[in-house]
Amino acid sequence: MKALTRILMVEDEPDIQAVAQIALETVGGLQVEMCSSGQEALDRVLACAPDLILMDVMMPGLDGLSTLQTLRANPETAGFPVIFMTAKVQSHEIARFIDLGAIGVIAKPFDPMTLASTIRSLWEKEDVRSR
Amino acid sequence: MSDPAEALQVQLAKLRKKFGLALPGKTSAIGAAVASLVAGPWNEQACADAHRQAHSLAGSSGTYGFPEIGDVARTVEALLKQSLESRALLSPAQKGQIDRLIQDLRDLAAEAAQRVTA
Repeated sequence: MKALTRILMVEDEPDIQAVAQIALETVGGLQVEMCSSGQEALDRVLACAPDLILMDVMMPGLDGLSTLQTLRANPETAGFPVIFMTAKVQSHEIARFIDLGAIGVIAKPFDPMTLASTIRSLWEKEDVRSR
Repeated sequence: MSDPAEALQVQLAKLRKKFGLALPGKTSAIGAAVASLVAGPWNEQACADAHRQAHSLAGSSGTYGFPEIGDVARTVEALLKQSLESRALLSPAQKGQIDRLIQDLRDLAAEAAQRVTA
């Protein structure tokens, strides 16, 4: 099993960036690369080569769903696993995100103390390491 | 400090204080955006801006430990989303509701800022 070490986080809200980065690095021991938009994520994803992309759904410009679809449409980026962070956590919305190719959904607001363990749990549940 | 959870608690406390002190400014900005929106003819960009600010506050407040502010902001966000989707001004009843919600946000933000400095 490949270890989860590097995350590309895509989030436009600086307050959420700050708390998530500290939570993932301090407790999770993860390396976090931060992007503020879907387009920035697309521009940087190959160079960053993350084990996982943690992405907000609602962002100005290219939103999370469009970013995921663009990632999936490119053979070079299609295999990067994506977890969405969103306040839209009704079951039909979660099902839609999973159908589009996300491996999991984390509800906002989230608990910074358990964010890293939640992500690891989703990561381990999904057999995505062989991309 | 070797315990990562303890280290995180310390860092989160600093971030929470900073966020709490910024809350009155954030709620004032939403209030101004909403006031501008309801004062004139329907303006998609103004509505989208106000909706975006309410959405950001709703998402971040709960994460920083101010769930009551997040809940009110979420209701403001929902009202603005209705306006965005219908491309129409809020009804008089909705205007009254959003005015009360904005005042609630201001009050809660002031309380939160006091709490983090106590």
